[in-house]
Amino acid sequence: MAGSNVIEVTLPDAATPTREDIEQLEATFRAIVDLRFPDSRDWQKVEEALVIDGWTVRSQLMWVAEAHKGWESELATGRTKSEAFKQLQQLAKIDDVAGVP
Amino acid sequence: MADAVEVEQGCLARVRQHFRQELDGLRNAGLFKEERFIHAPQAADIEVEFPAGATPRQVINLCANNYLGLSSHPEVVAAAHAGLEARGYGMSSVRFICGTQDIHRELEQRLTAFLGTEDTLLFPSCMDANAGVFEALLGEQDVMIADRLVHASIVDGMRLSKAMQDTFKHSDMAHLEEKLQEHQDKRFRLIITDGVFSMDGDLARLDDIVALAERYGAMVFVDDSHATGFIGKTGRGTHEQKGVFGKIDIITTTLGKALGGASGGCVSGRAELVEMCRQRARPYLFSNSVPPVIVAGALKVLELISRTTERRDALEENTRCWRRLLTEAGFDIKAGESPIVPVMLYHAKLAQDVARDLFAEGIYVVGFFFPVVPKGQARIRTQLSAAHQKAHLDRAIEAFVKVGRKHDILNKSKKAITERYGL
Repeated sequence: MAGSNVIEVTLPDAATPTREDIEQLEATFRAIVDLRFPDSRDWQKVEEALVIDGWTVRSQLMWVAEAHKGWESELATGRTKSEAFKQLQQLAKIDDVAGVP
Repeated sequence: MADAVEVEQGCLARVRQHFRQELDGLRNAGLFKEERFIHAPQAADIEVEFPAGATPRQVINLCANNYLGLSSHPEVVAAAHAGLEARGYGMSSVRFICGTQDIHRELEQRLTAFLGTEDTLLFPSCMDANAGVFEALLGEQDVMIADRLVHASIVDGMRLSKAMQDTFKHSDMAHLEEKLQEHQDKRFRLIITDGVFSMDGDLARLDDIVALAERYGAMVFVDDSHATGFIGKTGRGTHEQKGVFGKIDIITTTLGKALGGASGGCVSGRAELVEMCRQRARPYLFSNSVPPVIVAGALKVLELISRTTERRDALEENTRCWRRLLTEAGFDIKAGESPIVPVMLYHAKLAQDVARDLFAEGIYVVGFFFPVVPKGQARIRTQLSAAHQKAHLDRAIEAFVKVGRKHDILNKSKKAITERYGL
């Protein structure tokens, strides 16, 4: 049962969301909630401190793409999903072959 | 207190267990690296203890980067001794505090003249030069476009930079052009390549790369570690060989291969770029430079190779001879002109077995396979030296033929080898 601060949305019968669909819906709603009701304003203090220190600061919502293989991992961000994956591809490809000394 | 000790021991046990499993994984995958102890100066003939504890045996060295045979040259050793006496053992300081001697600057000036650039900055190694150069020069408005087979140290250096990373297919100029067009919106574009690629021994198409750079307003970076001292008519490097001497914006190279083989590297190029590295490159700022003994040895090396091209000519002749011997014997080698001559075996275990059998025959070579080289491209990398005599190459080819016959790989195509051994 949903608590008083949980919103339940009934999906149409025909909808069969994948795990990725669910993750993206959750992320979207989390972003909306965070924009409207942030859990704290601590980030503002950090931003102010950085500005005082001479930094130009901006924050934005981004896509994150991750890849893992054995002990290796790559992470890329992008304003669009394809931008994030394009960068991820480069990061993964750049040392695809370890090379010799 | 007793609990804290138990927790600490438990933590250490978990750490040990984790890394033992990782190391077992490397062993099981055939990727565990074992050192072989050499009981002599670096040379064409060396005494090697392998496996550890075995009686050292005399072998012909076909896997060193001792391209000009200067690692143990008497004049270089004498100069190093003199440098040690005159300038001491260590500097106990980074360059910009009190770690710069007159001979550091002299070596930088001599390298600048040799490489045909405007200025040079020494680093503790070329690995350090590559680790520091991109971060020092490029920011998030810029893009680095690297050949996909560049050296691992370049990859690490690129990862430390905020600039966007992109790659082009190995030596594919059409693909590089596409990338240059795609990145016209960036502030600076830097094309990154090795001069001679360490896996295949092939040369970068620097003439075409420079032409593309001029057309699309890009800078060119070349790591010439496997070329400086011997590629090109007077051994200045790949830019000399490809007719673009003086047109490369940034060259990195090493003192750890042909130029005496000790250690040390440099960034050489446009004056402002080198100066910015002096101000910002972290491996330069936070690490001692090359010690005086190596600086003195390297100065002698530059004197020797500027005086005569005898050694690079001998290396060129040895390379031609070795390539011909291997081809006539029926081995499948990567075509090219550099003294890196890969003998293609395609199958990882075959490469290891052939290297082991050659060692038993007195020839020291190493088998390389995935992930060091692409899957299905296992090979033995042989490397020539000016120190090799014809007799070395004759003995080596005799052993190669004997081992090749044993594994039935002579005069066999890639298809035949892979059908028999797999990929």
